[in-house]
This record gives sequence, C-alpha cells and structure tokens, in this order.
Amino acid sequence: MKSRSGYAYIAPLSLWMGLLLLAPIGIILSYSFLKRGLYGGVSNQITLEAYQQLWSPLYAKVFLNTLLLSGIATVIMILMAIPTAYFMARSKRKTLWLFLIIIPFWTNFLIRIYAWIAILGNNGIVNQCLLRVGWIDQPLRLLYNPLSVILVLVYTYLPFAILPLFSTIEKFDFSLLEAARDLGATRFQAFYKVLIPAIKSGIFSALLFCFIPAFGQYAVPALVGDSRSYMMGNIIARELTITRNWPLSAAISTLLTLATLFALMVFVIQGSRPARVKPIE
Amino acid sequence: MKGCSVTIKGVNKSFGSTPILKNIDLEIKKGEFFSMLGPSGCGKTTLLRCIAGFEPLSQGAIFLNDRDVTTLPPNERPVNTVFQNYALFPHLSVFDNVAFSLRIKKIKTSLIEDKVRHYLELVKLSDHLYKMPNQLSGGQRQRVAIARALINEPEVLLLDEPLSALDAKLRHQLLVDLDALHDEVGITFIYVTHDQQEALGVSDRIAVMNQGEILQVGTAFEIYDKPVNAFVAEFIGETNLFNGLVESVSGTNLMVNTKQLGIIPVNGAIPVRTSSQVTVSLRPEKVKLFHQRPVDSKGPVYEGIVEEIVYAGYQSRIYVQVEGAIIKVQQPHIVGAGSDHFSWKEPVYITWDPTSCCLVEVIST
Repeated sequence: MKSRSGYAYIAPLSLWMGLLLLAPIGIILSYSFLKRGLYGGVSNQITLEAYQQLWSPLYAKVFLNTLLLSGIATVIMILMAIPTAYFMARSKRKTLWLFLIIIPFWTNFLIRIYAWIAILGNNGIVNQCLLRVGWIDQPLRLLYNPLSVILVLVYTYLPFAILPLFSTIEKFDFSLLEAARDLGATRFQAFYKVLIPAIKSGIFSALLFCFIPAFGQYAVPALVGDSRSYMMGNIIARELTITRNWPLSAAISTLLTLATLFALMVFVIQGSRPARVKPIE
Repeated sequence: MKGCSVTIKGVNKSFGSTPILKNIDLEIKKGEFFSMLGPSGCGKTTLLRCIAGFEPLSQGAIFLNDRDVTTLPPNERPVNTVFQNYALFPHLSVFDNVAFSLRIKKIKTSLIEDKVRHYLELVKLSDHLYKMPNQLSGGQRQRVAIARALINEPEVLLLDEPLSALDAKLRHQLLVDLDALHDEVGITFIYVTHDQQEALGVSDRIAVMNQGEILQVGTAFEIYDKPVNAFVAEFIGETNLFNGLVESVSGTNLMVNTKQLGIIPVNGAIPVRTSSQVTVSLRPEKVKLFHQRPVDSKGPVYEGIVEEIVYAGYQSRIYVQVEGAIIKVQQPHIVGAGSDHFSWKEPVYITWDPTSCCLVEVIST
C-alpha cells in the first residue's frame, strides 16, 4: 500500500517526462539509424549511413567551432558574473538588482536578438553615433561575425550565470575574506584562495546553465552570425529543412545530446567532489 | 609612547553621522595581556578592527611598535586576529588553515610542515591535523583559529570575544589555556570581551569602554576597587549605588546624606567638597547579614526584610528591603555553619565596615 502511493506521486512527472522528453529522444535516436526518404522523412530500412555522412571534416569543424564559440562565451559570462554576483550579494538593495537582472526575460528572446541587430547593424545606433562624431567614414561591420555571436550569446545567458552565483555568494561568510587579509593575503589572493573555492558549486551550476544552452544555440548564429560562426544547431536545421536529410539531422542531434550529457557529467562530478583534504600548494 | 606595543592617538570613527569611537587615546605595553571590556555596542570591537586594519579611521593615528600603521592595509600590519566566529576556511583542513599565512609568504614546504606541527602542538591539536573544520568541536575550532593567528608570529594578537560562543565550563578551561599561552609566546594580547569575569581573570590591564569612550584603564584590582564612575562600578561586578550630598569631609572620611539610607560614612579617594552631589558604591560581598542586631559593628546598622533569595550554590544573592532601598547582599555558604541560612520575609540586620562604602563619582560640586 505504502509503496504504491509513492508511485502515484511520481506518476504525473513520469508521464510528462516520458511523453515530452524520453519519447522525442527515442524518435530522434531511431531516425538516426534509418535510411533517408526520397523527399524528406525516413524509409523503414536500418542503416548507419547517417553516421557515415557525419564522419566528415566539415562537421568536425563546425563541432569544434560550436565548442569554441560557446566555450569562449561561457568563460566571459563567468568572469562577468562573479564580480556582478559578488556586488549584488554585498549590496543592501539585493531585491532591486535581482529585479533588474530578471527584467530582460519579460521580452521575447528573438525580439531581444533583433534589438542587437538594431544596435549593431550598419544603420544601427553604434554606427550612427560614430559617424556623427566623425570617427569613422563608413559603417563598421559589427554584425554577422563570430564576435557578434559571442556577444549576443553572453548577453542571452549572463543572467543564468549571475543567479546561481548570487545565491552561493549570498551564503558566503564574508568574514573569511577578512581572515585571509589578516593572515597576509592581498585582496586578489583572498578572492582567489578563499572566495573561489567556497563558491565552487555555484560556479559549476553557472557553467552548466550557460554552456549547455549556448552549445545548442540555433537562433543567435542564424540571426547575427555568418558562415564562420555556424554552430551545430544551424547544421541540424539546414539538414532538416533544406537538404531534407532527416537521418543525418537526427544523427547530429544524437551526437550533440551525447556531448552535452558528457559535459554535464563532468561538471556534476567536479561540482560535487568534496574539498581536497591534502595540502594545497 | 616609546616602547609601547600599540599606541592609539586621538582616534575617532563614525559610521555615517553616528560616532562609534570618540577621541580614543590608549597605550598598550609590550607583552601585556590587555582587555577591552564594555557592553555590546560600546565600540570595543570597532577599536579592535581599527587596530587590525579593517576599519579606516575618521581621525587619529595608530602606531605598532612606534611605527605608524594608520594607512596600512590589514595584510601589511604585524597583527593577527582571532575572530569571534573563528572564520576558519571551510574548504581547508586544520593543517591548511594553520599553514595559510605561511603559504602566502611562500615559505619552504618543509619549514611550513615543522611550524604547523609546532603551533598545533602548542594548542594541543596535534591529533587533528587533517580534519576539516566542520569535523571539529567549538573549542577545537577556537584553538585552530588561535594557532592560525599565532603562526604568523604577529607583534600583537587581537582576540575578538573568542570565547563567547562556547559553554561556560569550556570557557573557563580555554581562558586558563589562553593565559598560559600568553606566558609562553610572550607577545601582546588584546582581548575584547563583554564578560567582566573573563577580563578580570586574565588581564594585566583592562580598559572599560562605554558609548565609544574609554572610561577607565587599570589593573583588575584598580577597576574593581576604585571605579572612576558609577558606570564602571556597576558594570564590573555588582554593586549598590546611592546618590547623596556630602555632609562633612575629614581627610578621606566623608559623611554622605543619602536619600535611601540617611547619613552614612563613606571612604572618599577623590577630593571632594562639602555639599557636593556624589554617587557612592557598596559592593554586595562587603555587606554583612545577621539574624540579631550586631553589637560590635563599627559601621551603620540597618534593620530590613529579606525580599528575595537567589541561590547560586557556593553563595546566595539576597535582596534586603531597608528603609527606602533594596540592598543586594552576597552571602557565602559556609559548610556546617547554620547561621548563614536566611529565609524569605525574615527580618534581618545588615551592616558593613565604614571603609567599604566608596565614593565613585562626583556629579556636581
């Protein structure tokens, strides 16, 4: 009786996860092993063709490119988020800052990307200002390059880095920084040797929340990127809608999911590892 | 000022428009066990933090061994602090916590190992080298904090209410240990506390503070026996305070007319004139309690009624209603002597030696 009521509690969640998470993943996985249909779709014939096609320098290059762009963006986000979260945690107006961080979520994500086009485009605010001042003769090409993709990725996911870091730093005992200063550490040493290890779990959550969605991004490179900033998400979309090679598109998705899962496991293991007991150097 | 371990000159500190420290002047000698005692909010911790370098001064200067450190950051001052909440680094073992300052200084690993072992032995923690702070008891954490501060060989060790989070029994033991440690390392200790028992027990000298000011600096004996004002008299130990007018003066023997007790003899160490308004103090342990009217008393004798008895094992605190006042009396329990037992609402007689009642403050002349 007891154990059955337990199952009843998790039934809604199981149903939800089963229908909306496991089933789609299963479909993608099975499509990746099927033969390509003539006009899109799949035919009922098991083959490894899609994975053979995947094994090409082009996809390897895009994969590495995706890794690089989302990796750089994630590092920038963390580096920006730690001081921001630290400031917020020590501020007396925590609620105000949290509110300001959350405001962008009120606007649709795509509209916010278009806003960047309005800011950085040839007729955008930045170029208009620089032209008026006379520092440049013709508009700078600020959009449609890897840097603009990184910029917009950072903009998009920065709140996801700030929020977990804020909640960890808020619990941090700031007298530990004083203790470190008292024991001869400079301001930087105190941060590096005491604050950073203490907020490690927050840093790992921030990494997870930023890197994984950035890695699977599709809209940002499609709207503000060029061929050099092509990411795996764009390849999937192209194979699905233009080339209409569904098995290949499914195979890439599978690869991406596996890569993400791998990254997730690394982060989780790292993040939950207990503090080192052996002397640090 | 020469030869002083810590010299504090005209220090003022305000947070916004609220003054926390008002014109503090203080000289602490080398090797002294110096306590700063006062109620919470009196500024004692702020003064300690000023010495450590955590709080910039609004005005004034601080010298350590005749060197002006007023503008130095905490990491460049030759002082170390034992924090009230210990502030041990939770991600580091006991060993690494203690080794922290040596690693910052980039001292050779083999030397670090030796020194850490030595200092952990000093605080009797050699068995817990590789434990994490959350595996230690409060008293052990306290001792790690002390070892961590001492290993840096500071000129002055600052202790910010280090025992306040521990239970009474442990507190006594650690206080004795701390005193022994002070004798062993021989450096200046500045000890901040609100507990007068702690301060009286171990300090060479004590500064009593209230509302951002130092009221009195002296040995435990001086502060207890010759308090400079009513606040010090009442804060250090317990006392009965009476206000009154000086009736007559002959040397140090005064007669004071108090509202509560009438005219009583008072021992006046401070020069005072007739008809000055004064406060006098009578320590509860100096009042004697009798069942029958004492015949041979040199001091004044009053008849009263026991209003309340607070039993504390080795003694009782008895409140006696006498004329217009309630007098606190400390009555020791002597084994086998039945005469020290008093009961509620019992009529009693109190008296004291004429020199026991002291002048503590002249309010107006």
